[in-house]
Amino acid sequence: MIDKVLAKPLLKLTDVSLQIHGTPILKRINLELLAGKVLGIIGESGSGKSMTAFSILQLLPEGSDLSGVIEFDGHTLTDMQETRLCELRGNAIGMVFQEPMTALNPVQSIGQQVAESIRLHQAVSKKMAWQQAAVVLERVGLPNDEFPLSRFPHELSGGQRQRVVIAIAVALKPQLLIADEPTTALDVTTQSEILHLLKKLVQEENMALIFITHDLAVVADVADDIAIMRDGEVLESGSTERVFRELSHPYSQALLGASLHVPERISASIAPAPLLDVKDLVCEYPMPRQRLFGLKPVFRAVNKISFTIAPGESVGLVGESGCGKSTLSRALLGILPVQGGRVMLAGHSIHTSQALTHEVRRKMQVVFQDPYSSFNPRHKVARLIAEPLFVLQQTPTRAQQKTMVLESLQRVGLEAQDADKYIHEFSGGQRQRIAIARAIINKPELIVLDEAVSALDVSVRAQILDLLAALANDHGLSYLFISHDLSVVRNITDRVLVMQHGEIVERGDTKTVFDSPQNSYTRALLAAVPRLSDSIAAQAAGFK
Amino acid sequence: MIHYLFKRCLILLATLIVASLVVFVTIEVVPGDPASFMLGLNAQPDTVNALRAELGLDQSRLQRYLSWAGGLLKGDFGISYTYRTPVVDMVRDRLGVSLPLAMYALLLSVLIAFPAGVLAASRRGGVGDTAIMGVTQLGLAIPNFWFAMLLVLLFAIKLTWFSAGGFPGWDSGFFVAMKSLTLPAIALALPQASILTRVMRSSLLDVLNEDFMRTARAKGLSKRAALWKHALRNAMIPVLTILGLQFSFLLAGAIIIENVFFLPGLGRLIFQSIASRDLIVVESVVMLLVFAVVLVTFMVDLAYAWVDPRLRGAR
Amino acid sequence: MKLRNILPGTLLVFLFFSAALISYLWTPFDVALIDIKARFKSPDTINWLGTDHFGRDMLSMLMVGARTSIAVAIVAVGIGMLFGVPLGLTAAAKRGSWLDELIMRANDLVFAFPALLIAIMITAVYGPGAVNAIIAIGIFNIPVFARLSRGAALSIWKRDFIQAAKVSGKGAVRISSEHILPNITNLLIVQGTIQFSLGILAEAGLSFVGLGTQPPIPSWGRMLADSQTLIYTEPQLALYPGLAIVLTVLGLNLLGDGLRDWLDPRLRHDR
Repeated sequence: MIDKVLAKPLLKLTDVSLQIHGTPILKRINLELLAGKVLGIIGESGSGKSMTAFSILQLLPEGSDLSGVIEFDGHTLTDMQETRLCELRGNAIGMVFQEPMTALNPVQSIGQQVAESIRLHQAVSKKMAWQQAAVVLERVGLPNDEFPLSRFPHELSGGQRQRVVIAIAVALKPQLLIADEPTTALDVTTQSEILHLLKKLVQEENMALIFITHDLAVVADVADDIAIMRDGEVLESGSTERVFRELSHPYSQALLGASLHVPERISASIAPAPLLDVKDLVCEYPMPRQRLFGLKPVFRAVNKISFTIAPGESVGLVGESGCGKSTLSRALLGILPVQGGRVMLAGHSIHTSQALTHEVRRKMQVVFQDPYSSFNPRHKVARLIAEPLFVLQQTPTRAQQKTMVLESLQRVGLEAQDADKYIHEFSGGQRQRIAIARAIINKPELIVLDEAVSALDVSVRAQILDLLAALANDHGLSYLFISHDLSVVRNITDRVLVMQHGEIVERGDTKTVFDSPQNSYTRALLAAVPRLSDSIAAQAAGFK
Repeated sequence: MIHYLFKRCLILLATLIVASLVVFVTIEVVPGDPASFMLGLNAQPDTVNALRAELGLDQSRLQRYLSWAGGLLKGDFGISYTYRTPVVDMVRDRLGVSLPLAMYALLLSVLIAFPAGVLAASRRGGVGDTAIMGVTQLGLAIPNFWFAMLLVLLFAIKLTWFSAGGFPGWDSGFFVAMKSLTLPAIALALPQASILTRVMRSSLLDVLNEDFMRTARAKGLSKRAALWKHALRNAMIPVLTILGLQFSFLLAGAIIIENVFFLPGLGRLIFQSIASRDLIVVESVVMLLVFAVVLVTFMVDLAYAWVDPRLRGAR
Repeated sequence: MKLRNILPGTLLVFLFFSAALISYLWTPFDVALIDIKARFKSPDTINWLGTDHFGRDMLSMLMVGARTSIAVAIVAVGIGMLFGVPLGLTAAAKRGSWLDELIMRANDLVFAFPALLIAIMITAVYGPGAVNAIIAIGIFNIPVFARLSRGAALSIWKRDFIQAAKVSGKGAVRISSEHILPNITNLLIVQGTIQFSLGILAEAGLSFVGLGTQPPIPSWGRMLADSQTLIYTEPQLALYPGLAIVLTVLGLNLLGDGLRDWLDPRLRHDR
């Protein structure tokens, strides 16, 4: 490489501003990146971090108006011709995206898609490109004997697809790799593998890397430099060590504080009789027939699981996607048939041949992950919150309903007038409050929180966790806290269950399990969780 | 793949059996006896009975269904009540007009719609897009038989480039025959091309918004190249569905258009048979058309598997 | 919202609907009045659009024809919705079951019979008439609405608020009516206008070949069929009914497109 002149940045953004259809997205961004270095861009959703990446590639949506100067390797990208840009993209600058499930063309084989990238920029024969593609796929951890090039994306898992996307991006050894939330959609263990792969590739090829994420912990020990963004502005930037030491902007402090947040909660005094008692629970799904006239094989999603939850207790259920935790939660709630075992709630069986009694239904409620799909968009908040009242034996009068709705709203920190609004008028965090209001209106004893904070930005997540802790303290609620995110579970539960392949592989006091995990899977899970390194955490804690 | 194929074949067979039952039952409930109708009011009861026996009308309904359906399988469509000739011969001649007409129209509409749809999608919001969308909006609203009349008015009466109707037969040469099918095919194709163009455009626009199109651009493909190499094949999936549905509309439309152009196709045969209550012909032609529609649906299902590898895996 | 997208369509539809409604109370001339002496009159101040081969007033014929077309199409769409939507909702609620399979296979079967074939079979048995046209187009509409509502309902069944409703003890019927139906009405309205315009085209086609509305009741398709033999000498007779069909269908399609943009929640935030 000729242009390895020191202090001459590989990439330089000067006063970059962006408007899309007149809405300001980026405001005077200034960033620099030296060859072979790693820049972490951190921000919550809507901060403009992804648009910064697309500005660099000059791949902006229609109606975009970009000003300022972006220089890359001595060229000015902002006034470069489209044909020249096409030569740079994929060749000198590679990009990895957030959603591996949709980032690949479903009708082309993975070999075709990697080889295309090579053939675009190098004058090589089809056969040569195919061979090179095989080499690149090996390098990203998809050995050809196990994953032939003729595979189609739908035959691969999310993590494997992300490896293919990475292979496309690094096939030509670009000088700069941009990774936009490359691990957000993946499980923790997959996430750590992909992070590891990216680190390795960047070091081996001496690539510069821009790593975009909402999670401070993910980049803290990878990035040489860090930029914290909010509302289209860079609030703070500089070397990682300095940014963490100084944290001059209150928002950065809040961001860091939120990721270390511990809600205040009183541990329950364990009563002798359990509130929820699950014994040998089995849930199975039929799968498509393998052979023409064979029986439909069944997939056992939940395999003989037993556990209890005491009144007032908060129990965490942790596992990666596909481990059966969602199936388990739906079975507990009585909305999925079970194939064996029993679930008792306060002494009543949930899966009987008769319909569930009102009294049993009243005692449990649920909060789901996605604040956008949790509500019927056609109903007003008052009606949404009042929905569980349907289970009461005697439907309350209209006036009673209204009082109950208002009381519920007030308990989750919302205003009385919010009852007359539609759900689209609320932000993600507010919606999750409404979901909680709906869950508590019947004064249930158990609430299943199915990834209830996973979709929220860290600062909002901290508020919701505080609210949940306060509600539990005031009303003696029990929680079953289902999450793939171990750090959330650690701070809000008394006990934790670790689930893998439909079975509970480890259980115990949260602190004990986290401090000295016995099962190898639990250890792998814990090791995979990105953590702010101790020194940084110590510095940050000093601020509070 | 074999699983998929097998399932499709089973569905094809089941549909045909049920469809034949529906057709048979619907038409068999008809009041009145074809034999006495054919022989007129003054016929002797003996002659009527003899004819009933000859036509197989004295058998039970189940027997008649089985012999009719069995005949269909062997290519024996029965004997026309009115003309006393095998239905299969009548149908064969007429099919030689209707089928080429429908294919001609389908070909025309695809040839118009694909480029127009791609052009409109790639220039979304531009002048070309607006113009194409405007024309298709009109094309959707024009009834094909009225459009046919307008074509006759302009090209046959005013300009005299084409004859206003009739079919010289394939014996008079391929191009002569095709020429006489040209106006009818255009009349049939235009509304279908409008639908297809719009589906093509919106399907392409959907695909252009997909994440993998961004991946393609990040690889260094130009907008155009990304559209041709990555968007088009994905966009074909909904287009295929519509294409399959269109064939049945084209066949039905052909029946009406044949009336405008006095073409001796299946359409005219059906109307003549209805007028003379020659029910066995109606039955057989309807069944034939249903068979064509079902077969095309089957081929569309196969084409899906060809376009979309996700359907190919038996997993 | 861009009102201009809905305006032209609404105006056209309003024009033809009012023409149809007014025709019940008043038409410039009686359409049953045959006056051979006054046939083929050019448009003038008395007969605004001239007269046909029986000397009937064209404008009056068009107004009554609008009423026939609209009535047939509305009833046919109604039949389609009345049967199709509950079938689709049931199939979605029982997805994967034998009932779902049965409903969908039956739909496929009906799709194998284009409306014209159904009309041909009915006519072969019961003779031609407007009721045949209604039944034929109606039957053909059922699978359209069944498929649409099943597909849309399936995507809504996957949403979390349905799970929440189940936790509150609500059954499939109540969930379908309270949560699914309100969320697919927009789609149904848009598809309704499209099927309405297709219904008008189909009615015209059936009447054109003599399987639909029978004389002396005026209908646009019938008028076109009558004008076909006169196209050499009196081409204007073919012009007016054709234009009436085109403008009505165009209006309905424009209205449908406009409604879709207007009702689409994805576009709603732009308002």
